[in-house]
Amino acid sequence: MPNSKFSNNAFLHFLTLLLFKQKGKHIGAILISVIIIFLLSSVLFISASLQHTLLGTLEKQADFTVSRVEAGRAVNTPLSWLDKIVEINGVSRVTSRIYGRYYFAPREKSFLIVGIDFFDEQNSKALQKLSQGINLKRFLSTPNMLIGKGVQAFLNAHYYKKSFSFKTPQGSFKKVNIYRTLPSQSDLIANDMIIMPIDLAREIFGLGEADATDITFNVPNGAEWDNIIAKLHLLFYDVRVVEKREVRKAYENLYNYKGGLFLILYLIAMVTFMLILYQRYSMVYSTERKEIGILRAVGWSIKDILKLKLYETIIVVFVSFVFGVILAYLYVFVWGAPVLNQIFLGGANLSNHVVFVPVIHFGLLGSIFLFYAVPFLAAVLIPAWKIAVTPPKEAML
Amino acid sequence: MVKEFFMFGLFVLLMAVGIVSHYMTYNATEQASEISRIVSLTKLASPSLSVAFYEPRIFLLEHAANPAYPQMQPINKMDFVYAKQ
Amino acid sequence: MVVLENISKIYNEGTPQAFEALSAIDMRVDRGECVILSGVSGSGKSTLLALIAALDKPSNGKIVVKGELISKLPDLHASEYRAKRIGVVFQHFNLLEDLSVEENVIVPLIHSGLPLPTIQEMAAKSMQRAAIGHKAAQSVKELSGGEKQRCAIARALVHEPELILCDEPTANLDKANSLKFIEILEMLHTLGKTIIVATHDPLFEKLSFVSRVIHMEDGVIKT
Repeated sequence: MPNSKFSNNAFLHFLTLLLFKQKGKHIGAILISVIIIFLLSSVLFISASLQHTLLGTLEKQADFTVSRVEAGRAVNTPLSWLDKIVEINGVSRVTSRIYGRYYFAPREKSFLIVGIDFFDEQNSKALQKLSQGINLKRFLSTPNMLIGKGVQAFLNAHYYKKSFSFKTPQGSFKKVNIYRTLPSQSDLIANDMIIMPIDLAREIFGLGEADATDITFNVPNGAEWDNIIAKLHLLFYDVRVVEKREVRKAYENLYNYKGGLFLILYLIAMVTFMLILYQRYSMVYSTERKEIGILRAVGWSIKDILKLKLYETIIVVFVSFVFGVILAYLYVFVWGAPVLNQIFLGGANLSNHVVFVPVIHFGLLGSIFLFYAVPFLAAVLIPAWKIAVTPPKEAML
Repeated sequence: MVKEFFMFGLFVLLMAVGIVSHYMTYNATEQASEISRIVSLTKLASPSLSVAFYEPRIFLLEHAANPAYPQMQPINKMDFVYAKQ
Repeated sequence: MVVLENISKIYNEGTPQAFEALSAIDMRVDRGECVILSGVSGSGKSTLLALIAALDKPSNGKIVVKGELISKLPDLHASEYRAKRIGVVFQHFNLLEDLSVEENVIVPLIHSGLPLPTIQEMAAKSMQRAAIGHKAAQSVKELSGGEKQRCAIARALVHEPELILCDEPTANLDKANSLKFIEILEMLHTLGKTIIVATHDPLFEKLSFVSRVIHMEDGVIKT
């Protein structure tokens, strides 16, 4: 039971009375507000979560990736570049990568095949950590692969339950057995992935022993980065260099709320909201006018009227906002944002079901609140003030 | 109506508290660990092909190349049409 | 109690549509009197009552109620005057339809600073006096015309004003309810209230407790 100071307060009693007894007047505006806040917050939550996870993966990424280009197209990178890059001062952890996109023409879908040298001690340890209890000897004894969840679902749907035959550039088929599926928590990066021994990957892509897809390395001293890039261009005329900072920028621009799609979504939401609010409150204008006139006639001052309307609106605004945000949180982080997640994940290749890690930008939520609350308050208080300053006799007509 | 109002307020507060406690107690490290293990093995930290994270700004299609997949040709260039598969 | 000196009211002053609703009104109502302002529609009696109630301001002249000049009060003071010093009963009742009888009656006291239980006690007393106490929890929407008028009276009396103003109080009532209303007025008169009623209802012409009847026509008092 609330404190008697509140329960004996006549103004609070009257305010809550009006809110409950006139809920029909407010329910329309509350519903619309909740929907708009829900949509905006859901979009915010999904993008913040994806950004956060992707930026987290960047930590393990190498600082530089170099590949060879020929006539503007990326082609295989010669492994001889490795030795030359190692000689550059300031670089460390130079490794080559074998990976590529395997295009399954009948369904126009792609798999990302990654070839790993499992005879490398570090790689075999990493594999043990990734897939608990894996028998490396058995895994390497026959052509085996580890597949992502999306690949598994796709292969299952096409009756490739135990193995899949890849078509090589020579025209032959290479049958590879499905050993295990990668954990679903890694779907954001591994949904379309197939991990297999490096030799198998070379065979499928027709990559020679002297080639790799690209080469990665680290440069611990950030100040040296531009120097290193210059040296690389001097060493190889046909090199393409991708820096981690470019990738970071791309991730940061991901669903950037300041740009493009977001801005349009916000503008549309705000304009729709204002139009509906205007229409809603102009409908109740005449009853509102009479009500304010009556209150003025029985002794309420303009200040009293505005105080009532202000508190009334603040409660409506606050309740709508909180409900909208709570619904959005539940929708995104508890139910996985069905329907909306496909818009963000794109459905570009295989279907993906990413689990969104709860990430909340309170500052942005605060901005959404201000963008919503200020026009709402203005839309209610300005007409109320206009009526309140009219002589009560006129207002009651 | 003050009592009903406070009950309603309490209900909203409880929901908010529920959300906050879910947020605070959520084990975010599990997903990060799994992803980290994959990246340690593959050395590839890019999002999967099914995540269309490349989003061009409306009206501004500059730097259309996807930095994570340099082999994926930007579709607004003619060499996309003539490139080998 | 109420003194009007040279009161005039011009609507749309300074425009081609200017209309003089009241002209050179001098009037005096003593404490405890019950005065009837009679006249046909458009005679200016409702306008005069609105000025006494500080619902509007006169174009010229002054109105003094219990020694206080109310014709030029700023909004805050005019509201306080209406909330504490007078009670007004309107022709169309002017009740808040979404609320119950009791909830309507307590409206003038919301900003009085009094605790809610005290306000509710005062409302109960006022509703008894207006013979509407048995309908306290009922929604105003469900009341008959006579009951609505009694609810309006209860609201006008809740803060124990000395001056009561009624604007065409029986215009929307049948004869039976009009007579009931007159009974309540008589009761208030015996309690020492000062009452001014603007009406063209002939029922008010020959009442024993009425001190005098002031006839108005075209915005002036007919002697």
